[in-house]
Amino acid sequence: MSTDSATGSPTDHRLDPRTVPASALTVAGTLLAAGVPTTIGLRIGDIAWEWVLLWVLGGTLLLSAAAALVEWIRWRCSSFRIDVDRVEYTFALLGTKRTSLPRDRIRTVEITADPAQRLLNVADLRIGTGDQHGDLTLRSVSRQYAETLRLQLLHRPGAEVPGELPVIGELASFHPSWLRYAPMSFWTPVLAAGAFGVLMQVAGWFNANGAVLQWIQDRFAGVPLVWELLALAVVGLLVGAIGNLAIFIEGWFNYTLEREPDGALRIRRGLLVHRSTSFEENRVRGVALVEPLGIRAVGAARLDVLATGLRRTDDQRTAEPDTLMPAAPRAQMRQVAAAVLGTAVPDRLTRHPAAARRRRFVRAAAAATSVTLLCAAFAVLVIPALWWAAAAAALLLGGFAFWSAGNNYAALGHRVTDRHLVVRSGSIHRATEVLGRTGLLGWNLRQSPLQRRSGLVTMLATTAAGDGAIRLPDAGVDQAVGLLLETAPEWRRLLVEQPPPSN
Amino acid sequence: MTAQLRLRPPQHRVDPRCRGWWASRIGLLVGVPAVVLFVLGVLLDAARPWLWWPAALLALVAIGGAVVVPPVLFRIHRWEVTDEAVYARSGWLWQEWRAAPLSRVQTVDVERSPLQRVFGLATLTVTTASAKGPVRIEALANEQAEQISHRLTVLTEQVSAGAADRDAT
Repeated sequence: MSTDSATGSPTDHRLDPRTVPASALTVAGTLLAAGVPTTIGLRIGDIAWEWVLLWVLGGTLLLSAAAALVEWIRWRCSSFRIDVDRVEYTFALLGTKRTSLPRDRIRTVEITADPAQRLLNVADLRIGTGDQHGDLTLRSVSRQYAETLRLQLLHRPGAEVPGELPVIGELASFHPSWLRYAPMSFWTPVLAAGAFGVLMQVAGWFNANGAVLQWIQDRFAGVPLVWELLALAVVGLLVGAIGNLAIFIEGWFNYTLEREPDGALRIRRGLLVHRSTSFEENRVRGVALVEPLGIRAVGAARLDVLATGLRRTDDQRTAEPDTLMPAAPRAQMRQVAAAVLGTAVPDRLTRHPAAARRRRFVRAAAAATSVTLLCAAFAVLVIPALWWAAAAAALLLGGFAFWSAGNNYAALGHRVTDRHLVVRSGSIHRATEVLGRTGLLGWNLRQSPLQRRSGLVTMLATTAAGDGAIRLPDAGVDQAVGLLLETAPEWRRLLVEQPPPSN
Repeated sequence: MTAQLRLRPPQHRVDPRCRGWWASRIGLLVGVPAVVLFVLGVLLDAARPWLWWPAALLALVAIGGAVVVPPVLFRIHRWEVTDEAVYARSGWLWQEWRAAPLSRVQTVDVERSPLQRVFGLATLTVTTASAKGPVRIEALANEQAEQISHRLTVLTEQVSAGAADRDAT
């Protein structure tokens, strides 16, 4: 299969054969881990030890062997080549399937290695284009070769190397004190609910749902319902926090962010599974400082990258590839953002007109009113005895709506510097997005009937990075025109000195 | 009255036949369920009032919508193409203004749905590298859409030959 490099054509490479034992080991490990609860379950069901061991160990052995066989066939049938302008992966079993990526579309190169792969010194290499060309994963190659390939693929000759790079080398690295921010994510209650769901599910297999609930009831014999619920909530949150912490440590232990000599940003992280992600410099359009309510309350923020071909998501748990830095102290975050951008992120932004604040408070009032009505209806119609709970809920939710309205308006702002467009919005999910002006494609303006009456307009700055646009809600109409003139000269054509007659 | 956006609408209206197209679209969308309910009402004696009342209501909405909405849409939908950019205004209650500078334009498409074909209309879509950026001009006359598409293709080639822009291909 392998052609001689002397013939002039690029050589066909094989994947590393160690991928076969690596997958067998991973499968064996997973099955053994799953074997523990299975063993317990079977023993509770009074199955003899011999049978239990036969099932668990025999099953593990058999399935691992099957995994090895499948992986060996895959290895036999796979080959890849790195051409001058393409990366090609060929899978030839009965037919031939060829995946081909143009090298100039490559945006990210990610190296991951799970514990079994680390033991055998191999790694997965994922080459991402972020567009219709799709992704390509080489599973697996030796770690040294993965490293070589990463440099080779991101370091194209002829790729524009940016002129001024402020900082080369390490920009940030993991600090154990960051662990305190991990449980502040909204995943904590979600995980808690999930854990409870799993508990009931497992209990359900043994028809023990009633027993579990009874057991909980017994613990709280003679304690009022309120305290029981509170105690359960505290225990749940504790479990969620621990789970969140574990996920955070697995994903972000040993994290470093560095800028390589060619300008690419490289993130390395992970406790069990090692991950390494690189962003080519000329794909980076800006950054976003993300401060969800939880981590903002303790003075922390997260840093995301705005890069072409990357969809942004909120899911920090699965450690999305667009996160440059996990939740960390805000001051440190700003420094790192400045190092990535080359200039400091401005703190003082232009505020939006008072009409934007009015709009937020009107919305909050509407939300509070409907919540109060709902709670009142519930109290009157369903459980009159719990009227105080309904009142408390209405008060709490209504109060939160008003607080959130004020908080949201306080955050709202924008600013144009000589190199960047800065936009900040959001209360529960606050983000400050900094987009390089060369990455700004254009603007979409949107006005609702109410916005037209109050002289506001929602603006979308379109870009090839991230979700395709960053949103600036409720700018004043004059601010909007100012922004258009400064950043998008094509709008000058539609500009008039006098406002048009109302249409 | 508070401040208005100091922008004039783009220069051109869409093709007047758009009113027929929009009216029939509303008619189909709301009228077909009304007809279905009516027919069911004919077939099912027991549930007749429960079917005919909603049918009458939907029919009313369909007729009202087909009369009221198209003229408003016709007034709001506007477009303009210059050597510099493509502009479009669209929407009904929520109005949207979009502009795409030619240096950022990636593709120019002309589409005709079956219903549009009946009225001799076409939709022109101009995309940039942003997923949220496409400028759409609905309801252009067929030949006009083709002409504009051709003109834009020529213009964008000229512009991008001049500017080495990294987010436009």
